[in-house]
Amino acid sequence: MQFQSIQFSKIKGVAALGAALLLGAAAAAAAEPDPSIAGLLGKEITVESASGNDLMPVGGKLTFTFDSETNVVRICTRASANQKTPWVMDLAPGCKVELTLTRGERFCTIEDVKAGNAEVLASCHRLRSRDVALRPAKVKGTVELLDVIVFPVVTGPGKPSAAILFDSPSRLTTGGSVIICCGG
Amino acid sequence: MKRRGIRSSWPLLAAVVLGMSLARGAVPEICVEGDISASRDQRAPAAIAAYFDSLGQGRFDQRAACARWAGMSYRRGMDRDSNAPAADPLPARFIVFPADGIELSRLAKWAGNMQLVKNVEFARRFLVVSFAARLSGLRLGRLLDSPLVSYAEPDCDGPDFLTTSIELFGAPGTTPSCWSRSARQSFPNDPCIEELWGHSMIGWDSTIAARSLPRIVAVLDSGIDAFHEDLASGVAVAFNAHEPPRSQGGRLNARCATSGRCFPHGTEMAGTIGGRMDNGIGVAGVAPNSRLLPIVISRVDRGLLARLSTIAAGIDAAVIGNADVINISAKWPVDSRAIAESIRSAVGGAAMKKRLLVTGYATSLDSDDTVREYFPSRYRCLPGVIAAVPADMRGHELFNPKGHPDANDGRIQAPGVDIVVTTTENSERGYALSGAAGASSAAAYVSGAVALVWGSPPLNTCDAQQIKRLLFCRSKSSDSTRYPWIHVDFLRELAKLGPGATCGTAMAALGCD
Repeated sequence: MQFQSIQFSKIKGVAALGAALLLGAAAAAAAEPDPSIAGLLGKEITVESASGNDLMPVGGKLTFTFDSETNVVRICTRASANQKTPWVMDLAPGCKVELTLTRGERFCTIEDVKAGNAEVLASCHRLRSRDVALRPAKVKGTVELLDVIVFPVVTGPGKPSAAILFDSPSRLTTGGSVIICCGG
Repeated sequence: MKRRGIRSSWPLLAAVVLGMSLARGAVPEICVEGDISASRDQRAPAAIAAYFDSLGQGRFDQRAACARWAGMSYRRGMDRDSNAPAADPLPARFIVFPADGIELSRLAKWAGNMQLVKNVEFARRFLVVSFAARLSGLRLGRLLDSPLVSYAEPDCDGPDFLTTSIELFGAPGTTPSCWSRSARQSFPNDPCIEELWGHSMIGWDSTIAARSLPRIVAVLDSGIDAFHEDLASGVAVAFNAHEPPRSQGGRLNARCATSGRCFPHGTEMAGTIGGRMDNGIGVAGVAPNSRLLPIVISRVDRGLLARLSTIAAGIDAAVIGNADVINISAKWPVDSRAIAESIRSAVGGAAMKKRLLVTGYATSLDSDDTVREYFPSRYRCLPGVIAAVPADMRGHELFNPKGHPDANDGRIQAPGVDIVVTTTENSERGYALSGAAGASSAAAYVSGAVALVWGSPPLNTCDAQQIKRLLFCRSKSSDSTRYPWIHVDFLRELAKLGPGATCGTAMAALGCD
């Protein structure tokens, strides 16, 4: 990697220092989680149901954690004794999947996500990650990469829940599915 | 006039057509022209022409071509670690249309004489030509550059169905166990009838449904389990789709049309459309007396759609079967001319009065968070097409709109969440139910509603466009959804009409003439 050396005059340097401080302040402000997802963070959620297939194991435990340094949310999974199938590939126990926030106008309901009307979903707060590997592709030796969209949903006071949509942009040729799971 | 070679003309053509496509906002050909024959000078989809141009001497890869056509990044199909191509390129398989005045048999003879052609399949309007592996883009372009060919498009595999079905009732205590209850004491005696919240929401009346005349509903899907107790008497088991036995459609129909051994999606849709009523078990469909034509357009694994050519052949088969309603609870991302021609034949021109095509309003949030609408929903520009928008309206009220919603928009809202459906999986006691959600279920609801309304005298004398107008005219509104809601409670008003009433008098009495 190459490093750039920047030289500047005193006045410009003061201005640059000020700019840097402002930038730092802005960065510090940006490191606070958005209120739309704050209720979801740090609380362990159990996968209660999943449609389609076993990409998301019923009974599995996951936690959404906020990384203040990179301003992303991570999905952290762990195996549970009640889990029907194991976590796989990028969702294997750990915190590999990173999500970025798109702030909408409201919270979706689980029913909104089940219906799958993107016009409705586009208005909802959501976290998204692209190119998440969850299963082998039909082409030998490769994996199918899915989009993961997490919708924080409101189901009751103090009960964080999320509906998670798995979508495969490459499904024209490699297949894909839509999965929903809810937890609380 | 000397004809320009297809290959050499493609760069210019691609630029022109791409520009036109962008200017139109990628409106389907059939919507812009009204008659797709008006764009005959286009010899391939713009994205495919551009793909050929980018290839040069490079190998043609069917997978990459299809992804490009669909506007999807092929990088996703590559090996994630090495970023190398995932596997050997898939050999080309093209839908090839003959030039004006050229018969398919002559085109087939031409294709059959080429050493690089491995297989030729006949369809009604085109051939499906499979080429040898490791063919360069340049060479393939030259082969397709024959004066015998008017248009060619890759015969891609479609994507999946639009449902989020199965095990949505997985949470404890929510499994739909109504199948195990004994028959109700009142009419209708189907024990799951009270679980069908969507029936109530659309103003469905079991007495009216019982009196409706049968309409033929083609279910283009993964087949219908003809042994299912709620479906057995309604499935046309002897229907012959007239697809060549060696074609993909022929093979799929032979295996899956009525056996119940394949992906359950078609059986799920069939139950919502035409599940038997008052048979003491399970659910009742919206149009329980309808006749169901099972036409398979799905590969059996994961419920993926079959090739574009198979979908086109399936639509043709529905026409052969005299279907009044064609239900397609599926989606695909490309504007295939093969399918558009079939749809135009089925519900365009004079046929728009004969039948309606109902599909789900299929959308997704694209990578850039824009909303993408899929096909065949995007053909709702045609008067013969309705796109059903899935919604959950439990706890919400529907009311009469101030005016009549515009039927030309083609979108109508219908139940699409937590629908109890017949299925082939999880079978116990020979009867099986599941839960479904999504645009698939909404389409099934609308197909059932069309069949019910069209089967209710004197509306059985109406044409398809009058039925569509009626459904939009008598739809309901809600504060929480954007589109008109399908609603059939107006059928009760038909009882006030005297004997000898016609479609016209009924439409007038219903305020929709």
